[in-house]
Amino acid sequence: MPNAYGLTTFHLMKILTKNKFQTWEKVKNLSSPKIIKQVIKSELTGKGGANFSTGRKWELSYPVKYLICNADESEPGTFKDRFILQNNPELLIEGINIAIKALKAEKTYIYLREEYKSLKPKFNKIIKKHSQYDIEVIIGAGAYICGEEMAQINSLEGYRAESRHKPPYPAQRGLFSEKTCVNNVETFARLPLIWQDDFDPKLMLFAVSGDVENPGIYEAVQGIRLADLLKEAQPVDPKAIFFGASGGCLPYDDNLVLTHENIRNKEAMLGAGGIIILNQKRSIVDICRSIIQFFVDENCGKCLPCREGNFRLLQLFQVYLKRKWTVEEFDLIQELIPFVTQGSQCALGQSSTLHLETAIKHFKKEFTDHVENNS
Amino acid sequence: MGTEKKKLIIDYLHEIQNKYGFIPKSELKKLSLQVNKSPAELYETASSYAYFSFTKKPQKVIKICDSPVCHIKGSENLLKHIEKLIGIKVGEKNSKIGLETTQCLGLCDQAPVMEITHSTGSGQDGKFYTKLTKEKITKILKKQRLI
Repeated sequence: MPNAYGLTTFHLMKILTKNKFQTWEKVKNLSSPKIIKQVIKSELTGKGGANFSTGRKWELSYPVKYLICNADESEPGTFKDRFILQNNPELLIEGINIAIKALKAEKTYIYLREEYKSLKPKFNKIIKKHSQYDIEVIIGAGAYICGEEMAQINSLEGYRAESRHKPPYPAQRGLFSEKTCVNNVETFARLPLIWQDDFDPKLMLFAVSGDVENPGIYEAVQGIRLADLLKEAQPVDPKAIFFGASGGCLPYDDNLVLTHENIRNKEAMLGAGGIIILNQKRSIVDICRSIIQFFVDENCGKCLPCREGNFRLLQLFQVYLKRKWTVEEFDLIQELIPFVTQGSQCALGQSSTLHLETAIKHFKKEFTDHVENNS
Repeated sequence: MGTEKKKLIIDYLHEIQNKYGFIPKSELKKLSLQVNKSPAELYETASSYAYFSFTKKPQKVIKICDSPVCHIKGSENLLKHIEKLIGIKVGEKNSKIGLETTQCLGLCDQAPVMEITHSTGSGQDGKFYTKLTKEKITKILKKQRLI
């Protein structure tokens, strides 16, 4: 079927035309253990970036009081959830219905980022028509950190938009101190597909942006070569690939195999599939400056290493706009990286300097060119 | 189904923000009695979100995205262009209009982008403008009667 971008046929979208809510009609008569067993068997993994088995997570969580759909996508370069929310909200609600039935959730929140709030009425309509469960859409208030599950729980409880310590995990003690399960939009949307014959757990959405002719959403299996993924997107004279703001970067390589494991082995993170391509003319130092600015603006302020570390990094990166770094300043930049990584509590803080670490590793000359008396 | 509808703090804060265009201290005091939380705690919560503000915003605010993808697509130059057109710097406001940078709006495939928010009596509407160029921005601001 043609999609919003007119490019690829999406497996994820097929169900929209074919059999809306038909899977739910089948699944609603199954018992919770049977549904969970099927989800485990399907090998579906979480699409919010962690890639953990959805079925195993459910097994550990069952039963829950609260279910949360994390629709607070705000990672730069990541807009795949928006694609589902806009183009196939029915599939998401169908998946949520299945999850509620499997986990015996009493109440479900869809935590929708503020920038996507215009979609709320459409969701309420679909929920009213297709779900007998208590599902409520909550609008966030513009805080990146709320995409992290513990911060999202904090936000729903009426506290500051900041992370909190794990354990206890949401499955043990989550929202309002009750057992809770948090899943990502795409994870829910893939659930109804499990009951289709051609289900492939390796399929995921990639959001492609930056220096490409056709930015947009592409669905592909994990394990695809970068060049194959970008065949239609058409990269222009590519130099580097950034995995969102927090996933680090790698030199562009046609043969780069896109699996979570492979990218992790290269010390970067595939995460939620945000792919930002930079061309040969782009300054790696300058994009790092922009990413540092992002982590300063979106800092929750809770952990000193992340709060102060990123702020000091930004100051150092503002220096380079006016003059070269001294050798000491460049050393300080490199010292601050592990300080932030090791001293922050949540996954976002821990990965907030990964871009810099990997950029200095792979594009060191671009940095040392900005250091004075460098020979 | 069974559970009663429980209004969350974030819902109340949205209501106040939408009604007044900002969160007046007096409203936090009123809310504190309603939800049994101190005004200081409510302030602490509200102040951690970019969407909530404590001073009245101009009727229209231009928010230009300066996240990494928009950044490489030239958002800094566009920002300078807007500053020149409307005569105020980023972070400033006048009675009619404010100019801010914002972080990722989730439209990286259509970068560079900006949002112009419009405060009405019943809330704040935002309109997104994508694939911006200097010419396009001049046209949009003229049409919005901002220049």
